[in-house]
Amino acid sequence: MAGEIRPKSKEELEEMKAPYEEYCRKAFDPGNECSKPVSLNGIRWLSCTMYIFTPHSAGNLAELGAEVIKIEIPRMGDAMRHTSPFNEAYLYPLHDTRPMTGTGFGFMNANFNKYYLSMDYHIPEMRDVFYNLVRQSDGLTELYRPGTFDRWKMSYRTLQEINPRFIYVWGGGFGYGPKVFGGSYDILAQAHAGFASITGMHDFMGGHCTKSSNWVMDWGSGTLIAYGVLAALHWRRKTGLGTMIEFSQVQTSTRFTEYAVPLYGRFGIVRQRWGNWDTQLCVHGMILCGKSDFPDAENPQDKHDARYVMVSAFQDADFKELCSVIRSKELYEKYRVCKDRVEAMAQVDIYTALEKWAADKSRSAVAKVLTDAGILASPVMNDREVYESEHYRQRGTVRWLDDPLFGDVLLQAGYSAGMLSKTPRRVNWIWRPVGADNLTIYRDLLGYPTSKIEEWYAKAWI
Amino acid sequence: MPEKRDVEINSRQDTLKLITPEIRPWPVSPPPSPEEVKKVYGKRKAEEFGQWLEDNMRLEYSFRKAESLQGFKVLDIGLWRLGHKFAASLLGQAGAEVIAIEPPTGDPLRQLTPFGREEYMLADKETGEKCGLGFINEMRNQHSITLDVETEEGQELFKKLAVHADVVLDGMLPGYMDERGVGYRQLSQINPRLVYCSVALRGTWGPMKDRVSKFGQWELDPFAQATNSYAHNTGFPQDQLPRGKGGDPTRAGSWVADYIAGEQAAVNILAALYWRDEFSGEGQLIEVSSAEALMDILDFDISWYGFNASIKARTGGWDPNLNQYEWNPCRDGYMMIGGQSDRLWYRIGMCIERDFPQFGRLIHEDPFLKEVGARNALHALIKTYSVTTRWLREINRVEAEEKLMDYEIAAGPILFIDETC
Amino acid sequence: MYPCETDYGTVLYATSNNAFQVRAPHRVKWLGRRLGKDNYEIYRRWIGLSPSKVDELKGKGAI
Repeated sequence: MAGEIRPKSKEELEEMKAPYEEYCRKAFDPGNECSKPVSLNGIRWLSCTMYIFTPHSAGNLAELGAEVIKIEIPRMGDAMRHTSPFNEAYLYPLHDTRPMTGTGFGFMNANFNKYYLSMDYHIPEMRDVFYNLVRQSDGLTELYRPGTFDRWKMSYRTLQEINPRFIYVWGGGFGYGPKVFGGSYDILAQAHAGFASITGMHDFMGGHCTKSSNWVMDWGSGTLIAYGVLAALHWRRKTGLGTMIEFSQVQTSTRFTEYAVPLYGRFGIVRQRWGNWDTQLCVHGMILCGKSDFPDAENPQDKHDARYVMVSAFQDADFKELCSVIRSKELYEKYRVCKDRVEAMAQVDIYTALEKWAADKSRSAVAKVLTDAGILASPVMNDREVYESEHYRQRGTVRWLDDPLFGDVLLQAGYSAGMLSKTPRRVNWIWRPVGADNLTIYRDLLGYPTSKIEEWYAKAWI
Repeated sequence: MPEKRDVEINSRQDTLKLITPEIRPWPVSPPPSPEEVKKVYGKRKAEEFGQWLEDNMRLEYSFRKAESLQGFKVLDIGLWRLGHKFAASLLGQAGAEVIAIEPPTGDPLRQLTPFGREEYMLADKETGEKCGLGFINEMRNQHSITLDVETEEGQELFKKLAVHADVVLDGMLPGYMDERGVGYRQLSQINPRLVYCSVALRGTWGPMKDRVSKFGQWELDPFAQATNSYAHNTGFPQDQLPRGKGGDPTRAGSWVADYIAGEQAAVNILAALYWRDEFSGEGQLIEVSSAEALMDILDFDISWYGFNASIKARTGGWDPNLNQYEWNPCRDGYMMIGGQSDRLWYRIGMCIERDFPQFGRLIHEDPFLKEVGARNALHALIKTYSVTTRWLREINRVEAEEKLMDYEIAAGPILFIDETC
Repeated sequence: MYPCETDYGTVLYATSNNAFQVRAPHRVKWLGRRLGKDNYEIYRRWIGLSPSKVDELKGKGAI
């Protein structure tokens, strides 16, 4: 019978009886990922990409076990290698001809586990080399302006003749339409397609449209490409045929605005910014407390900014308790009903009362009082606190990696993109210098003699 | 376009009668015609390639083509959050058969509407039942069924459904399904090929796993943004805006951590299915959490702390890694400019110099600003953007965009939804 | 942005990024469904429940 469950062995019986938390801990077993197989075994992916958006699509595949060959401009490499926060975080060297130049932290997290090949593929002599790679690979991501790869005879039109199973992704800014040649960056997608218009404090709160701290539209779109690629791989298993995906980045920004598009389409209402509150739930927002948790800290982020708490009490019972904690019976009487609380002016009223109550308290005091009362509240954490958090540490999503080239590197990515019990993601190395795998690929994979490779190298073709 | 009319608005009541599609017809800017796009390719001497794309890619042709995940079956159960819903919608859009399972009372998300306004909810044509726009938007290509996993019969039904499923998406609280005998542990016994994916907020296990309040309220997204440092790192700093008046840590406008978790869940699920079908025949358990999935893409912020104990600060509309790469106020809104490589950097300058010659002297001739990397230093950002804003403040968005486009610079104003659509 | 005819009237939505493909594009077929709209259809097709059985379980609160 379908519904009946009978454990087959003693171990299985124990596994079935263990508390769920323990079961998960054992199933995911952080730290021992490498004792398990990878999901995308045998997939070889080419990546003619730069920045974050398209590299992250290939990065996702590499974390899942595909063999990703990143092809970079000789000597220079990906532009992102020259990017670092306030110009302060670099790992050396960039390339064997440039020992004094490092790769900046901007390159981090989108490029794990890749193999680094350098090739100037618009040199006609290198085209055959490129074709040989295509014959042995499953697909490619590229980000050049439309028509560029076609001019070089490297677009899907040509490559599908060479390898009909090939999956080809063009990752661009705007995609099909009059702006198809327009370049795009993460910040442009945030600005141009809706996400920025709903992020930040409203005018009456004194705020402006606010940029996400991270390149969220680059990363988010990169993952969506990886999704498209995997779906195409499944389809290819059935039909034996590849496809070409034309992927527009700015669409992600519009897609991530929840109800904004249908609201505008039906009612002509333009969604606006609503700061740290929520347009559909109240109380569900971040409030400012009077005192920092670390008034004597040296780092200004600890000293001045450890003052915010995320509070949530949108259901009636929670709101009632919240009002009793802040000793404001009137507030509860006034906004008993969920629907009344969400109204704009009501929200102003309620959050003002909350911040008034928190004005003489520290962040941790506010979070503690509320949590003790059974209400959901949490300090707004900074990078140090996330690093020190026991939660992420136990789950293995923040951990140190002993990188084969660079030594100890703190990882926040890779493992945090999701845990798989049987074929987990993994990070083997963060990156390698430009062209580090030239010999392996040109000689061992493609069979070119070392003398040829040296010749190309001398000419800076690779 | 309907003719322009003068409308007097004194209260919200006056606006209600204006909420009709006739006032704001769609499309405001219709999709481009093939002829129009052809010209664009022509300008770049890529006409033939453009024609090939035109013949193969148009959205209107998609219903003549195959669906990549045809035949995969997905069950999606969960409440309140967008993570599992977004994953389900991605799988559905690629052709999988997705069944969204709700309790007989429905997912509370159905009732959510901006500022509690019922007039923005849509009524089902047959029953008149109202539903919030957010839920409708996320419920893509999904069938809706009801099932109460609290009841024994419901649990039996769920198991019977799971026998046929390739994927179960679990958006419930930690251990909830397991306690009711319908979690991965039990379902994998009756369907070993099952890929079971939990989409949580911070996780279903660990010291800070998803909580519920004493009164049964769930933890929802901005909590993920608040506890992975996204919110702390986003927003304007004290130097730019006063605290409490815009200069604070800021959450994203939408539940973005849920979206990110949803797409990673879909990626992991397809990878697990690939391994199942290609190699092992076995399903597995997957867990994705919103806070961690967003942390995964939080640039290098936490790794940077590991590098030299830096705690990332807020930088408003500026990016601390690139110069120029920011938005700044202009006369009628905000203008975004981007271009870091020498080629683009000088081109931006040449464009600004046309109207504002001092830019060249102050910026291009500054020896410190000549090196690409050096330009990312904080004082270099402050100087560059102050002078750029001096130019922007006298022109509006359209003017700025046109001028920058002449120099082929990736630049664009901040657009609102009506300007995007 | 494209409009889609739904059970709730025409709704404007943002298309899938993977919608532009040579062979197997992703697409939106419908948006939104009222609660339990597909109960009869899915329970029949997946696990062979007759409509009257579905009604009975609905009466018991399981569906």
